[in-house]
Amino acid sequence: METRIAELRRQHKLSQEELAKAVGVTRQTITSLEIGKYTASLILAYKIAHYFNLTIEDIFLFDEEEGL
Amino acid sequence: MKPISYEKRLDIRLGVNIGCMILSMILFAIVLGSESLAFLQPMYTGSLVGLFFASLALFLRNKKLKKNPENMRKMELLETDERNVLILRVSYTIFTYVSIGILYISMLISGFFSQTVYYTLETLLCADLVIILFIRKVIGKMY
Repeated sequence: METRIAELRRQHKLSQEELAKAVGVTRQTITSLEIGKYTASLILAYKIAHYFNLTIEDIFLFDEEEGL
Repeated sequence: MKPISYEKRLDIRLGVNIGCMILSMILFAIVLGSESLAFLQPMYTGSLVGLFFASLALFLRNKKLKKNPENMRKMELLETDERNVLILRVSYTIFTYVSIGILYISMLISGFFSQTVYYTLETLLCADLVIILFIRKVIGKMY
């Protein structure tokens, strides 16, 4: 799944490590989310969205075809 | 399922580590004192000594972790990270099916050489499948 995490992280001048620490995961998980290799759970998606003060849909770009 | 704190989990692990050390010492004493097990003594000795030292190493590691909150938090993050948990689950699932496949092939091959080995492996395979079905049922009720 495509995400805007890397873009938001750059806007907020955050490192992967800092974001990982803030949402309670490892840096590798953030890397995998950014390159679309891993899809976050609902809880993690919520934590990331909450951290950036956005909605889940604003960060995680759901592709209808991918979800089928 | 109600989650338990990492500190509590470490306490449980420390208890299991101590239990394994005691168990390995008791079994080791039994093996040393039993003449009927003499032919397998090197194997039993090796595995029990291994169990004892592995438990001791884990006990010391867990004890050290408990004393250092920063390291404990890092380890908790590594163990509870959802991607790591997923990797572990998928690996265990693949490992289980590969093990069953190896067991099945071994059973077929053993049939050419020994009926005893064949029936032993067949029983193990059946027991494995029954255990998997049972675990699936139990876990299914949890979620």
